[in-house]
Amino acid sequence: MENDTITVTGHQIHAAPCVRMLARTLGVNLAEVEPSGLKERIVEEDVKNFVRHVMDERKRKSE
Amino acid sequence: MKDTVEIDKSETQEWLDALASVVDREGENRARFLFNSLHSYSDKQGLNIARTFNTAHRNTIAVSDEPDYPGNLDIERKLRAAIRWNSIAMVVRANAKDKSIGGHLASYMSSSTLYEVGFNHFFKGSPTRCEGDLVYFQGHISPGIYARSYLEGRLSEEQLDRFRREVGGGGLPSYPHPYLMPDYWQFSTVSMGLGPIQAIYQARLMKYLHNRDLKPLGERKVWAFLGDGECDEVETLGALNLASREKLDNLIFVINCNLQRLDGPVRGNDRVMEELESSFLGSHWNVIKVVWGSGWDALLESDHDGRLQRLMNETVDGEYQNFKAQGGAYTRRHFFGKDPELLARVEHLSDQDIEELTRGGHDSLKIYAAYQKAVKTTNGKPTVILAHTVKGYGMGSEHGEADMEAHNIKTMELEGLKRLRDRFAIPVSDEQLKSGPMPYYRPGNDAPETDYLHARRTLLGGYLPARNTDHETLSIPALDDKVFTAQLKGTGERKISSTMAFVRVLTGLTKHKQLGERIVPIIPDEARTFGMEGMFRQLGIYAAGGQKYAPVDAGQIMYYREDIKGQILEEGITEAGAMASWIAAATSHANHGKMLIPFYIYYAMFGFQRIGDLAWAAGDMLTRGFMVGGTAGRTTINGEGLQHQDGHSHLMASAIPNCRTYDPTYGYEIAVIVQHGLKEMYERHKECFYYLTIMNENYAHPAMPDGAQEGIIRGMYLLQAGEDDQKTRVQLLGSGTILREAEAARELLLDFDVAADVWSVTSFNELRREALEYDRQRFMKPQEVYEKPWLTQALENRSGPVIAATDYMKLYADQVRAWVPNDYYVLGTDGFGRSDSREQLRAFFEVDRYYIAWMALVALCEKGEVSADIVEQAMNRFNIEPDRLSPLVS
Ligand SMILES: Cc1ncc(C[n+]2csc(CCOP(=O)(O)OP(=O)(O)O)c2C)c(N)n1
Ligand SMILES: [Mg+2]
Repeated sequence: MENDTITVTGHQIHAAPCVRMLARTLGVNLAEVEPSGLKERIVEEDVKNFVRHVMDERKRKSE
Repeated sequence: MKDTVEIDKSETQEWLDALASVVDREGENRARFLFNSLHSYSDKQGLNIARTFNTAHRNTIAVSDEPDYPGNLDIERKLRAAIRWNSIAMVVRANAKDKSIGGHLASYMSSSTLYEVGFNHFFKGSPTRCEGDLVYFQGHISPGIYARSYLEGRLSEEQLDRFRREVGGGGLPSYPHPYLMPDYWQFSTVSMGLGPIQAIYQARLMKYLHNRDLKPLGERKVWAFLGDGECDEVETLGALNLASREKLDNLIFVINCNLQRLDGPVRGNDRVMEELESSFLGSHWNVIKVVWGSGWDALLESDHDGRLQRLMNETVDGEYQNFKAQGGAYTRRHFFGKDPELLARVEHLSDQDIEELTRGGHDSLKIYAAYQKAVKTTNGKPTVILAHTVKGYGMGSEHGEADMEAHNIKTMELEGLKRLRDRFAIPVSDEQLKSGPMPYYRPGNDAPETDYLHARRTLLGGYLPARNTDHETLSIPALDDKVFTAQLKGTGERKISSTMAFVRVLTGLTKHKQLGERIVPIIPDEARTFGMEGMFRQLGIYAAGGQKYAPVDAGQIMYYREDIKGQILEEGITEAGAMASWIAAATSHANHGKMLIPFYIYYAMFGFQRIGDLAWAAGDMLTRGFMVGGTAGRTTINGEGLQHQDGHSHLMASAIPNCRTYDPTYGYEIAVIVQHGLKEMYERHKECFYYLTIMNENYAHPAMPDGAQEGIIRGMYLLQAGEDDQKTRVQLLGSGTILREAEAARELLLDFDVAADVWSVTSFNELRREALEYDRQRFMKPQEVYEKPWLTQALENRSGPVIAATDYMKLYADQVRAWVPNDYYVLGTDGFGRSDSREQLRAFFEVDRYYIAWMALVALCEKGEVSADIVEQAMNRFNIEPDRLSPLVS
């Protein structure tokens, strides 16, 4: 019963633990990511696409 | 404990969020599937991550999943109030007259709503009393059940006033006793533990009847109500696995978790509900917890950080008891007060509000949701409902509610009665309470409550409890039927055991056209010991799921055949289970309208002394059938030693008034006894059951002597008359295998010119019962002349001292001493058994032919009929050692 006091808040976002970890490592806010999986589940590819997209944007802006 | 320490909160968060998102988007089933996949993966990896068998201390059914309540809550509350009131009134009135009468108030108060939701919405009745649900009521809440019957008009005020006042008839027994109320109670559920194990085997029998096409199961359910304290009995939890293995989805346990037993808390320092939850989950039952009443819903709903839940999980039962015993202010301080945040959350509640936060077992809505789920669940598992309640609920904290001694309260002071009246809004004045005994209260015939009560029961098929007393009559074949005739003819030179003779009769019965399908052989893993393995193939072993493997002995004639239509109940090594199974079959006529003929065949030593309390309850439940103690006799099951050698089961059996017992020797005796028993029970409807012992010693069985039949039944007959021309005579009585020693002693005595008449005593118990009745009649009406007891009649025209020898304690034969019309000497097997040859053991216990002959000569010598020289001669010839230690102490 150690986890009783952890509040579960992230369930508005549908994603597996590994995807969540990936997002955390990359500093991605999952709320901004467009889901492509069944029932709006965010998959790994979505996070990567999101980062790619942000990087592209940045590159485009700095050019 | 390293694995329970949090080392990375954000990782934990990710996992929890992930799971929550699955529940949120894809639902509970998908979440369960993922969980199970994780679990089986970890299993495959050998990770040994155990699944826990506990959930949080809260209702299993979420508020959002609760069905609408189909009843009228207001009327049901009024009905409960009246039933509670009358249940107390009958006990209080009884004890006002006589303080020693006893009874219980607090237990029904804690379970009233559990029963009433059942009575109003679930328990099915039936006009035949053989179609509806079977309810095992917790024994000591019987006043509540009587009180309901009173409102239903099934019991009168006069009857309630005769609660625990039964002598003379018309009274109400303390607990459910079919023997004392045969058209009402169905099941004996006191003593503790007998209800649950019986319920499990009852549910199994119903599946068996269904699978064998003897009686369709339909929607019928078995409900067993039990106490949390009762769960410490091994019988209560000992058969849980059978229930799940046999997929008894027709079985529902309701455990009243009032956290108390008689002396104090069931688990003061722990949580009994938690412990029970894990036991039942581990045994693969559905567990539905009904922990909190609706009053808690809002508090739990807003418990976002889980603080309240955590407190609930950590509070021990001793504290929970305190909260109810000490009231609202105390609960605020000592429960919510443990956490300032929680204290703040209940600030808006008054102490009274807090006191009225009820436990789930007192909330009709929560109970209904649980019962509904239990009844509708179709996952093939039995279900247990753990209902959190308060012992003495509603009695008020100063008058017994959650009191340490709540269990034993059976009287109430005026103040307590007034409080109770106000609490339950019973229309009784102070005057009425003051002036006389606590009055009963029954809403008028045209009151809406009364209408409702009858309407609900009509809808559900009839009133409960109710026991069928209109039984099927079977026609039993005569003794000259081929089922029996082989035994009557004897075996000639062939040596067989009485067990084999019995098995032949049993086999004959299973092949009988009308009776065959009704025979239910029940065995706790000893069929091979008794030479019954031939029946495996012939009848099949009942297996609810059929046989899923080819048995290793498949090629053989007598292979281990399991079948969904199998007739044999092979129970495995559980005498309590097998006995409960037998009881269910032996009362099938009363509960299912289908007369069965069960034979429970077991190791005699592991019979009455192991399952004695169940056997006593069997007598109470008016069972009909045969209990057969195999490998009986202290010296006859010679090799097995001290713990296996039965030399007293007949004495124990004799304690049960409607158990008729026999210790036969020869095949024809068995045939006569079984045939007679069948006739008595199934044709003449005598309320009795039979116990016979059978042995594993081989010998030749003679043909039945002319005219022996009546004597076999009544307890003794002349087997062999001694030589007429001898004037020195003795009477030798023997039973079981030791009868044959008496026959041999007769031969030995010829050498001393002593003639012996040899009597086969099939039952010293039956002889004594008959003689006791004779004495009683003489005592009651001394002026009249009565026919003497069978035993006296048999012996009074015979001369010479009487010597009896059996394979049982001396008391077994000694019990008829008063009616033996001559000097009486008894040999028997008092003392601990041990292993050796039969010959050695019989010499050791002094029951062999030499001791019998020697005892006969000593008896004659005391009468002056033979000389001391002869006795000395015999002593030498028979190697009698006068200085040896008594077997009782050696
Ligand atoms: C085998 C057996 N032992 C003891 C008793 C005596 N007895 C009757 S009720 C009771 C306490 C029952 O406690 P619990 O099962 O929790 O039932 P509750 O009354 O609390 O609902 C005891 C010890 C009994 N009836 N049977
Ligand atoms: Mg209890």
